[in-house]
Amino acid sequence: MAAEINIKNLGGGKVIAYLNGRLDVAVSGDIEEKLVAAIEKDSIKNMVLNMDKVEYMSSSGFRVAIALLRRLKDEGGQLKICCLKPAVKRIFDVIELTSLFEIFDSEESAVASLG
Amino acid sequence: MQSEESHRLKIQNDFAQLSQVRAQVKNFFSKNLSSKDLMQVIQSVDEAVANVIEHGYPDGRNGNIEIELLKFNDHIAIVITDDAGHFDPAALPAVNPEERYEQGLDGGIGVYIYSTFMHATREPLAGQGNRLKLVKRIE
Repeated sequence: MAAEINIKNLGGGKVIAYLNGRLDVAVSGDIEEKLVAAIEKDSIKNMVLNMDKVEYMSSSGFRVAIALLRRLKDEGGQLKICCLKPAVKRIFDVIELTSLFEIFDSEESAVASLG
Repeated sequence: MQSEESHRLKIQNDFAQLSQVRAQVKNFFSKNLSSKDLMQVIQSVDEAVANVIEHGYPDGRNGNIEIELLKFNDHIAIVITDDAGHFDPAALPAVNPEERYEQGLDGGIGVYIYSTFMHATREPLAGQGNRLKLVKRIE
């Protein structure tokens, strides 16, 4: 299944972005465009990426996450990631990106960390 | 060395065909590898073929990529042969993504992933084209 995205606006410049499906090179560009458009449209500074429904993530998906992190940090904001499936978490671990991102087990704790 | 079993698939340089590649790799090796190793092999092939499609045909021409899946007694191998221009691995160094982030870059993650998960050797072919061999021992 191709990746889909749904965005829940929490107000105050905070959103939760729900990714769903297989985040590979065929869809990553589209996902990044939609996320960046949402950031610009609603002046978003703080985002939680909920990846509970992401079954697979290739390096193109990591490039999206890195681009978002850079963009939000440049605006003085934050990017938090939550609810990684074990297979996806293993990739984060192997390529040593767990130290670059703040990763949470639950959506509640990720949202709470935004302050 | 003669392989015990092999499977060959041919695709064009189209990202949409990657899901078919992942499915065939999964199907072919599912009985020989642990779920963890199988996931790593699928991801490695995905990254390697995506790199060829993304960087191998900058002129936009149609390209052909052949992926050969091989089973041996104590290891598996995947040979990816393309008809792209000679591909310089140094252009996409397999460096730690965190270092790349600090440098303001985000490329090279795919090479880093497959070089971490599998033993990778690459060679340019005479004329044009490249061959990448990925090997993983069966635990």
